[in-house]
Amino acid sequence: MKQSTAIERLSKLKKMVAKEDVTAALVLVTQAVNETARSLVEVKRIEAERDVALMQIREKHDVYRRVFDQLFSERRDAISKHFEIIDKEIASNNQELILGALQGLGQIVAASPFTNLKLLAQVLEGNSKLEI
Amino acid sequence: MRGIEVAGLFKDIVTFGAAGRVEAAEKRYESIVDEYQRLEGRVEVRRAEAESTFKLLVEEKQACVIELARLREISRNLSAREREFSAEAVREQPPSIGLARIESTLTAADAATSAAHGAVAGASTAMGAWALAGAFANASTGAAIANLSGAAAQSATLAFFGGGSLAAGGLGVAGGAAALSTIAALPALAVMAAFSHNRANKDIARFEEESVKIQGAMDAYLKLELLIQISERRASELHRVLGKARDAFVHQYNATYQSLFRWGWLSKAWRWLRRLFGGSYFKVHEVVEVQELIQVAAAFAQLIDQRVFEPDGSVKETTS
Repeated sequence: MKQSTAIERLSKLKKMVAKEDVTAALVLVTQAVNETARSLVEVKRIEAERDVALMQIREKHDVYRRVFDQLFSERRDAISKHFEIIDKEIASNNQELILGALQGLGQIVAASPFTNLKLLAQVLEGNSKLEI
Repeated sequence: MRGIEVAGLFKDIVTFGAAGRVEAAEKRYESIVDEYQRLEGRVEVRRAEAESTFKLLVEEKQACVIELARLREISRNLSAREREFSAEAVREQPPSIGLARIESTLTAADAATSAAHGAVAGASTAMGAWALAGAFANASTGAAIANLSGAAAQSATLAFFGGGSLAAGGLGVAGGAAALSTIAALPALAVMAAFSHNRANKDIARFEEESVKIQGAMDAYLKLELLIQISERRASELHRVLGKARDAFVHQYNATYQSLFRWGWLSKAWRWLRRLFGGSYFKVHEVVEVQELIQVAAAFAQLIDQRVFEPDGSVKETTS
């Protein structure tokens, strides 16, 4: 009973909608589906490129951070050794070694860490100039 | 919540999925904006931390200069001949060279103090310009000092503190900020209006375009963060070194002073009388002692002169 009613309704609809319109609608839907697929591929490509670029930026700065952690750690160790000499020689009042330690400290702090930044930037960023 | 999901589903059906794609692009864009803003906040925190460290360094340098200036009490009694006397025991250059170095340090500090109208320790003051960027180091005349003082004030002492030229100009953060304001102007309803894929593509392309700009700004901000961190650590290192060097100098100064003026004002009076009657203020072995102290003071002055930034507030590969 129900099946016959549905068939009757479809028959009525068939009379109301032209065949050409149905074909045109199908063509439109197909075009839309194709366009969607094409756009999706393009968007995915852009996204992937952006993600890679972001990852490279993060990794580059991570390398900078690690290098400078190491660099400052080495400088701190060298400075501490000079401090030990100063403390020891102040106790024994050895002017010559105190002077030597002060001059040594001068050499360490005269070497700017920004020099290392420039060198590192050249390595990590090729020929591009690091604007600082 | 369910209502929103149903509405979203309806929009997707009506637009053949275009609205969903735009929403997804917008969400991706928003996540990048979030990351950028977090980074921006982090940089501000770092800047504040760095300023605290800079302030400590300025204070330490001021304390060092006060100690170094005490040397004048001894060195002013050296005769012209004694200043050029190169004792074999010292094996170094005559004291005049070390004294010139020390005077250069003290003069620069005096000029900064005058320009600061009092010994203010703030990092973005004339004292900050001297302590952090070595400004006033070449100020030998009143006019030059006045010019330097003006220049320091003009550039807010250091471009760094305002995030001015470093952040805005060199690093292109302004571009990133502009990108943010542009995208903020996009009406939320624009997404609702994206009923065609062409329109959706345009919207997605805009999000992607803005994302790329923000990505560039993030790179710039990460560089700025790195520079702030390096500057802060350098300032901290100098602060630490100067503290110890000051201890060493004070020890050496006190030892020499005690040796020269064992009886306090009586020793000074005796030496003064000796000079009055044609003798020298210091004996030869005492001149050697003073020379040794001058060497220590010159090394101390060299440490005081170390700077974090260039005089114009920038950072370059060499700062010494």
